[in-house]
Amino acid sequence: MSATTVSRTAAASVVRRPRALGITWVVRRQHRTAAWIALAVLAALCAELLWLRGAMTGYVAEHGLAVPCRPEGDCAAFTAAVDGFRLRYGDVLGYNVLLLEFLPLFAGMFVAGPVIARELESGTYKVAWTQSVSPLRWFAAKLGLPVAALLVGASVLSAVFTWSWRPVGHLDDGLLVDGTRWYEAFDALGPAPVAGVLFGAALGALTGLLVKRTLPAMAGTAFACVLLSWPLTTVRPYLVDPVTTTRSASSDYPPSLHGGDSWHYERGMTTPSGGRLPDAGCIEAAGISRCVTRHGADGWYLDSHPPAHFRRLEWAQAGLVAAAAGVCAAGALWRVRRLCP
Amino acid sequence: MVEFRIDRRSGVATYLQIVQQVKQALRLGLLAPGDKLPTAKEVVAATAINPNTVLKAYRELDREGLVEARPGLGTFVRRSLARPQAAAGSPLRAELADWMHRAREAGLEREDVSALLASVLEEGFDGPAGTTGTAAREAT
Amino acid sequence: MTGLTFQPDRTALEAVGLGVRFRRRWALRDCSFRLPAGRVCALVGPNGAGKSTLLSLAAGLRRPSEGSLTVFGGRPGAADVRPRVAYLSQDKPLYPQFTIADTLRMGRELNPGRWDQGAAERTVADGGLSSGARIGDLSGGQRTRVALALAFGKRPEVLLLDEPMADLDPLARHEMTAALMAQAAEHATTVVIASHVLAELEGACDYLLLIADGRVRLAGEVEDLLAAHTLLVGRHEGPGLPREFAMHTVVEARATGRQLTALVRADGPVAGQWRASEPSLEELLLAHLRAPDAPPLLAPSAEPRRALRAAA
Repeated sequence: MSATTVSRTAAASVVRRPRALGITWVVRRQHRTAAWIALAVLAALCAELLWLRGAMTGYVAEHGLAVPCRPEGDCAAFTAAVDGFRLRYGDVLGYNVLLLEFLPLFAGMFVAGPVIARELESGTYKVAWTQSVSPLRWFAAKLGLPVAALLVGASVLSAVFTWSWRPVGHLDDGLLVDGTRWYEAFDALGPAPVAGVLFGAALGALTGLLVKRTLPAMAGTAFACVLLSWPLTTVRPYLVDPVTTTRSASSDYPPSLHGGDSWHYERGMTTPSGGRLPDAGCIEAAGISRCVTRHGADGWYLDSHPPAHFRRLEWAQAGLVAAAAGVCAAGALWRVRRLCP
Repeated sequence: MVEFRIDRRSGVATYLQIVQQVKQALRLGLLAPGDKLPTAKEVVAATAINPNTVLKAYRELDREGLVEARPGLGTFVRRSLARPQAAAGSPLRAELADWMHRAREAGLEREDVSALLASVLEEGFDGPAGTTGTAAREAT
Repeated sequence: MTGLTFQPDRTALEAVGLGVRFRRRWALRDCSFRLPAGRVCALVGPNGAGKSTLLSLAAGLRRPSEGSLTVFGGRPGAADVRPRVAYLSQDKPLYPQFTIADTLRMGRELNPGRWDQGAAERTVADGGLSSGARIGDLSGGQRTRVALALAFGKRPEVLLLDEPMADLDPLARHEMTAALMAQAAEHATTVVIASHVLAELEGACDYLLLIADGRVRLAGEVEDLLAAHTLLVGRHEGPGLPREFAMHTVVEARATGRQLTALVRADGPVAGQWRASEPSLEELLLAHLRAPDAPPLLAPSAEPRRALRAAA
């Protein structure tokens, strides 16, 4: 008699109940506020970039900066307009690049590291682990959802920024965006921020799992992120075969490291046997060609990447960073398995 | 319905306290045949004692034929311990009241009367019934 | 409701040669015992005895270093065991930004097909708590109640409680014990309560597991353990123990002036002029804690069965 009443009320309450979402509901509820704030910030940044693109392309059209000034003409007005552009938009572009460059650090330091470390530190993981879901699934949801959200956010932001930068990025040999040229804004363009965020998140998760405390995890992630960005920038130009120009030592000057829209990243001396020597500072010597001969060299070489290499370099670096992220993720998975009882 | 009072410091086993309180209620007519005893859940929700203790007490009462367990329904009183000879207005009670009056007039204090009663009780009911209380022990 | 809640033949928890090591120290060592299903078991011992470690093992939060612990014959934390066990850790961690309603919703989301919303809501409502209150704003006692509601809602077959009453006032303590006992009565839940405060367990528990220094000292029905011991008081004659004690196991003997008080496991009647009585639970526990060299005692029901089978 009582059994029938119970089953009837149970059936009625099943109908009333919202859809069961399991562990994802818990993770969503936990990070609801942070997610809304992040979404608002993302919307604001997109709006700002939308405005920036409109303003920049408007300026370019107004002052006719799309077509370079012919050397034989009077370029004073053109140069003034370029200076005006850089004065108005140079800083804004710079800040946006900075923001995107720090996105991986942010992802690891404020999201992937703390989401795990805070639970392990405060003991709240015990509540989740002693319900009916396995710790492995809990880790997957706990890390998977925020990291997925971060990747989507980074993709949107990077795409919008790239879309805003592109119409002006190569104008006047890149002079228009001096300081945020393609090789200077490299980490803010294309797939770089997305791969970076993936790496930052994996690194943050690994650090959080290793140290198990919030503040040390944040500090550790930041330290490791900054430390690892150095070898990345060092190795970056060697990811794609460069264009090499050579010049004989008899000419007055070695090839210039500056100028144009190409990335001149390495200059040095060549020996008669075809070997390479470092720059050795001969350009500052009184007699350049004598200095070169004294080092046993007979010419100069210059390695550079023209703008056409941009896309290949971007994707090569993204692949490298993603591989590093994979190593960190594998470490995190190993650690998760160790932590799971 | 009865409500049990459990005294943890009394030294009397908890299940015996329940047995004694049910018997007392039967004697005083607070429980009559057909009455339902509170369920173990009701008792433990009020007294915070172990449910097995309540069930043990009920099993003891069942063994003595005072209550019976009806599966799915609960535990019910089978017979009363109320005696007409001991009810208010009975000759026995009137005689005792009269004796009490005389004892008081003779100058006996409450403790004196109590001791006297206990000693006469011991003489009158010598045997296993008299040792029930001392067999009690501290247990859950 | 008429049968006893414990089922002597079903095993809730069983440990065989169980050991847990933290770096260099053994938190538990060589622990073997059995807890029949449906019992309310007091897990007693001094601070640092290994009570919390034992409970976290049973909850599937930790792995043993050696030996084994099984819950209903399965590994704690296994997919078919985890849903049947509820655990309340000592610090009662809950998400402070959640409301009570959120916390119960979490219980439902994480225990699909098992969750009893009514039981959880009743436990919360009995404490006069509104479901919109934030966990972070609750007092320690109120948080304990919500944690208990989360545990009840899971409809566990084993309920593991680590120092559950530590931060409760006497009234809340009584209410909470009553709620626990009602849960045990209704669903025949096996309950293990770890505590070093004996007063909150006496009367509520019918099974006892005493551990000290990571080892099991006493295990079995409270009644049986008490009946197995005798408290003897008599004249103290000269140094050393009286000769008539030789055939019994003496747990502890203390001389005060000419009086000797001894707790013994009597093997037959004790000769001589001794006043014998059954010890109280407190006397039994204190004597064993004061005498760490006394041999451990496991009641027959607390002997692990797997070990017996392995030996046979």
